[in-house]
Amino acid sequence: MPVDCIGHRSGHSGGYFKTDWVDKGLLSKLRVFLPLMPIHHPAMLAVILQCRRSLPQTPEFVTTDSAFHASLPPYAYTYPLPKSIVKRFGFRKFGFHGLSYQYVVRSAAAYLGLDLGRSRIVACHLGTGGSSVAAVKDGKSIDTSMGHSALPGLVMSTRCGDMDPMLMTHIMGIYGERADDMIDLINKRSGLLGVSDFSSDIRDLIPRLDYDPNAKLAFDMYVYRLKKYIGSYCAALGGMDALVFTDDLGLHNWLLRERVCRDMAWCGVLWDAEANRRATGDGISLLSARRSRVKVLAVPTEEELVVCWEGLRLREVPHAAVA
Amino acid sequence: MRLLLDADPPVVRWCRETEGAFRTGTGALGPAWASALAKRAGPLARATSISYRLRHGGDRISQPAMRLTPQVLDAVRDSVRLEPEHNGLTYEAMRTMLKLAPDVLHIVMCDTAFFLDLPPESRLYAVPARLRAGAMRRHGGGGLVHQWAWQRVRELAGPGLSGMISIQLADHTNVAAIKDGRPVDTTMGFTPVEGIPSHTSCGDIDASVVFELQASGMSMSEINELLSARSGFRALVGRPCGLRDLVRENGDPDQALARKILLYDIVKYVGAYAAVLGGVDALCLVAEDPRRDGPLIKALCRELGFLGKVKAVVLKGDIWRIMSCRAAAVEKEN
Repeated sequence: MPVDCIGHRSGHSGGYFKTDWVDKGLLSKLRVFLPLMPIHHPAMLAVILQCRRSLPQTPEFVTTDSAFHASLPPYAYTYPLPKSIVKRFGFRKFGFHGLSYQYVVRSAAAYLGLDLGRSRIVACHLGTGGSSVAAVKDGKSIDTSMGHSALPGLVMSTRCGDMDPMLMTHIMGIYGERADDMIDLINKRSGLLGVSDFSSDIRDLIPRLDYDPNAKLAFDMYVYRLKKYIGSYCAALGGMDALVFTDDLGLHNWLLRERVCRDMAWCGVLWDAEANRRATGDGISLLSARRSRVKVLAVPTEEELVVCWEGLRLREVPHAAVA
Repeated sequence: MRLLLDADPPVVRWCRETEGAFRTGTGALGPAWASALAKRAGPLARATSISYRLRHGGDRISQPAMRLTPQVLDAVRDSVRLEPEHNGLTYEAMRTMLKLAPDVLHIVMCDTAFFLDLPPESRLYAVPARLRAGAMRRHGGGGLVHQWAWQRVRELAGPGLSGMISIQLADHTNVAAIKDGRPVDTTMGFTPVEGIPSHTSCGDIDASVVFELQASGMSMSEINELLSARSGFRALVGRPCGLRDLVRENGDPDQALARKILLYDIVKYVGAYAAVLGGVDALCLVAEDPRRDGPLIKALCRELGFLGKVKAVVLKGDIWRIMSCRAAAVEKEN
């Protein structure tokens, strides 16, 4: 089967928010942002270069997970740091998992018969690696939990999520911890793994909740942080119409969803514990009661499909016209 | 006469209360500080108590108001490394006063004590155990005000009150979630920098920013100073900017952004706390000058409409009055 073009998904694009063909200029931009995604970017860059060597005639494009969050308003993406610092380092919130959000909000709206252009959706992308939450108003992202890097926000499998930046300077200043070690520690050895001291996979922790206090603490912290973000984005949207769970944990972990949603009547969720337990995650499932004002859904995501959509869209535009 | 002291670097603010009448002033710590203070506030040895507001109690100061014993003084010294600016000044003020007025009752009023028993999931950062030992946790701030707010609203609302969100609207605004009188969560973290941006500090940002700054050659103390003293509203607006400068929009787009960020961040925390409390019975806004801050309070209430019918109470909260009534309680115990 001939390949028309090869699409790459870039977790982080720096200030670069669009889907575009790979060329020298783009490659140098991607290299600049290598340190922002220490887990994903080096691998992605290696694959791009390998494809160029093996299939030099096949065009490659990169689409980014931040593109969906290009619509964030300044009050949501601005870090209140001196302007000279912001300019020099490019500090701002970018956000990730945009391809997934783009897909699931569209599916959710279609399933519910909701006009996406007039909707308020909180979407939770809960993966076995990274996780985030997004507030989506009228189909556009208005806020999201990851930031300049993929570190902040939810408790993740190995990332700590939200953290007082002064704790980092405290530990490095007082204990002389090296920056490289700290970066490694909070990205690769914290989160569920760091708290449970056992596993980065929430599915390994759940059977131990009754007897392992560390596993219980890790699970409780995960649920707690997620609840905070859902409430926070419900407020940011001025109320919500739908709450969407996606990716591996969002689709397949009923206990997690149960613990998050069972006492959300305050914002209009009428929880259906039975429907939640029964949901298989294979297709879209409704998890809230029929008469719940806020609909809660599990929606399978298709990030690769969105990459392909973006490639098709790009091929229809003359090369020079792509900004 | 009661004397109340509050470190506000580079000065120490003081307040003298005599039978409900307050007189306030400021002074810079130095050889002449105590004598200048005595000249304006009255002879120190004749005070019934001298109280100090401690911004950060670490994990050793467990009561919002307690007698300054040698052990407590030692704990205060220990806390200086957590909050070098305020606590360092407070510690020096304590030592000076203890020398000059050894027979007077000295009282520590601690802003973080109320939050010492936050539940583990809100108190701890999701890091390996050795990085969440001892004082490496959420300490919060403004505990004296939030605890007082709970008591006041409880008096007004009666025993039906369970879940309450308390917002201290100030240069350094902070929010607390309280359930049945006990703290559930609060915006300030290991240091007051985390949470809502203040007149000088950045609030919630991606912690990995620290490493990028460090890689550019900044030292840890320079980064601390940047995030705590040179950020926040002053960084957004480009000149000193406190709460009073954000009460209403003034046509400057930078000021409008700063104001919007303040409102937006409060709204997000109220939503987050409504979720963890499982709903809210009352919302309490504490402002030093509710009349002055009126337009901001109104704007905030408009944006909180999603909460539906929730009692909102505005209290005029003044740290001196709160400290003074706590000091009176400790005096009685002695």
